[in-house]
Amino acid sequence: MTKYLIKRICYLVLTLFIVASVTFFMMKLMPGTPYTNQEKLSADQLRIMNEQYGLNKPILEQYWIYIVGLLHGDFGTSFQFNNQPVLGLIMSRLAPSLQIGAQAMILGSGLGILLGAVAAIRKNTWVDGVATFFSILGISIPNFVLAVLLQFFLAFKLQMFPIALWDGFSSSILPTLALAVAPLANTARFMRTEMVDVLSSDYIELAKAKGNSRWQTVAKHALRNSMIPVVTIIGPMAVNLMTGSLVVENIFSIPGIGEQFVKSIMTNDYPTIMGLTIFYSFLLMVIILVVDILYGIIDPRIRLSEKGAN
Amino acid sequence: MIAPQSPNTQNVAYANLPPKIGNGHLPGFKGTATVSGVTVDKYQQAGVPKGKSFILGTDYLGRDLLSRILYGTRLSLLIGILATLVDLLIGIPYGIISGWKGGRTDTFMQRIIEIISSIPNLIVVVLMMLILRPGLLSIVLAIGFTGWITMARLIRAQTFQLKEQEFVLAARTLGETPTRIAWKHLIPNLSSTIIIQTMFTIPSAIFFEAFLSFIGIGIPAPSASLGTLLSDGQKAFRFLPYQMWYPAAVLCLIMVAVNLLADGLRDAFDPKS
Repeated sequence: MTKYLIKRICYLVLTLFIVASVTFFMMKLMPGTPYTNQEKLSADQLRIMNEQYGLNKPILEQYWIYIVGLLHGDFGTSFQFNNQPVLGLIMSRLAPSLQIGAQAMILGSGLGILLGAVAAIRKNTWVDGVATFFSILGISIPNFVLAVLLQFFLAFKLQMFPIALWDGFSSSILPTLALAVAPLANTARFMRTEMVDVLSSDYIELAKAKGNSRWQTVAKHALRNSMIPVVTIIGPMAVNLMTGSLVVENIFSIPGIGEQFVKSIMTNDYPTIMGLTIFYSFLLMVIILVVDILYGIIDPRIRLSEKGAN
Repeated sequence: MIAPQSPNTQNVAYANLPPKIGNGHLPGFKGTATVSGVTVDKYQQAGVPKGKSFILGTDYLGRDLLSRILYGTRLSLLIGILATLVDLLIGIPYGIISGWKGGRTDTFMQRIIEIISSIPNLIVVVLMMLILRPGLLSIVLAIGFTGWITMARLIRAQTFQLKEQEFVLAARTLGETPTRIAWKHLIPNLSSTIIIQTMFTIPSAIFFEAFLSFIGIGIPAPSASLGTLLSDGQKAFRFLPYQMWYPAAVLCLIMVAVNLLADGLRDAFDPKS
């Protein structure tokens, strides 16, 4: 286990390094400059600003400085957000994004498991049909369309929620709903397939034969076992949530990292774009690593087969 | 051809006209709007000659919304299909080579895939869009570049199984070249996987395009795509909701249709169910 962990963490660091390098050189290829009013700046002013941000040095030297800085936890200084250090900026905006992401994940996967399980138990009935229809619909409606619709009906027409504001729990409900639909639909589809498999297995037959009622069998045996593989789609779901948050945060004006990413793209703020790209990749890889470890802990068969392979 | 007007003809005098069909007898398509409690005929105000109507209304530059939606749908579908082609062109050879060679080549190629897949897809697309000039081609390339990972993984796993089978061994003993084996024996056997995966890639490509246009780095003006229409519509959504409704409905309809098709194909090809 320890060996496996160390190996995974080494890969993680290597991957982060490659991601950082690639984004760095991509940024250098980007057209345009980070200065908003470049035409008005004289050659001297440009030179001074380039010197201040270290943009006058050869690219390889800038690259070296950036990588060494990363190792010290220094992501550079933002060009647009009041010259603040990028890492501090990200950290100060992390909380709303994490809150909405976590809420959407819990709500989506919870309801999804329920919906998928019900669909599987009532397989090939109208319940199953309705559940399948809604999960296809959930996958098909882009989350930004859903976000705008929710904003229009629930916030603007019915005035149940604030339209665009970040102030406590009530303002996080709409973005959470908009983001939760995709994970809900995915989990429901996945859960249904798994549950159908489990329900036709021998130990369920045994549980029924022992005289357990239908709901007892499902709750005690089927549900738990079919939930195990659902853990594997947490990783892809996290990716979807991240991409979704980019635009949903913008629609609801939430001061999170997604909104910051879009803003920094609009303003050619290289250090912030690079910092956020690295940060997103880091977050994603950590989530995938944790999911893999969790999966081994929950499902003993995985551990056994790994031992057998070694 | 079907579009009633050219999608890019501007006529500012006719800006933001509500939907109207024929003489405006159908509810919802009367061509009227409620301004501070009073219902007014927008067409009369704008001085539109009698008999002329815009079925789905006009946008803020007076462009016919129906024509723009028709052309936008065409562009979105085109992007979906082209991006999927790029996806196929990279994903299939990559998967087959990785699976066929095995060993060190495979390990190396899988590491590359792992690295690419550890950056959220959308961020790669956004970064690529920043470097390339905005336009159809760069969107297709950016989406295709990130989309092939799943395809390559599936193909690799299948190739691993296929290459152990007798008919491949027979072809090898008969002295056929690997390229020929790939074309004649592997790809026909992989076709169901390829078709299913393709059907799942198309909606995601359409979604990405809409997304990029929505945040303003997609298809440049004046061309219309469903994404740019949504993005324009969202700005005035509170007062002119129809400008967002129709493109959103079309986009959702396309996505539902393609997803249902993909689902049906998967069930049809999957021997298990």
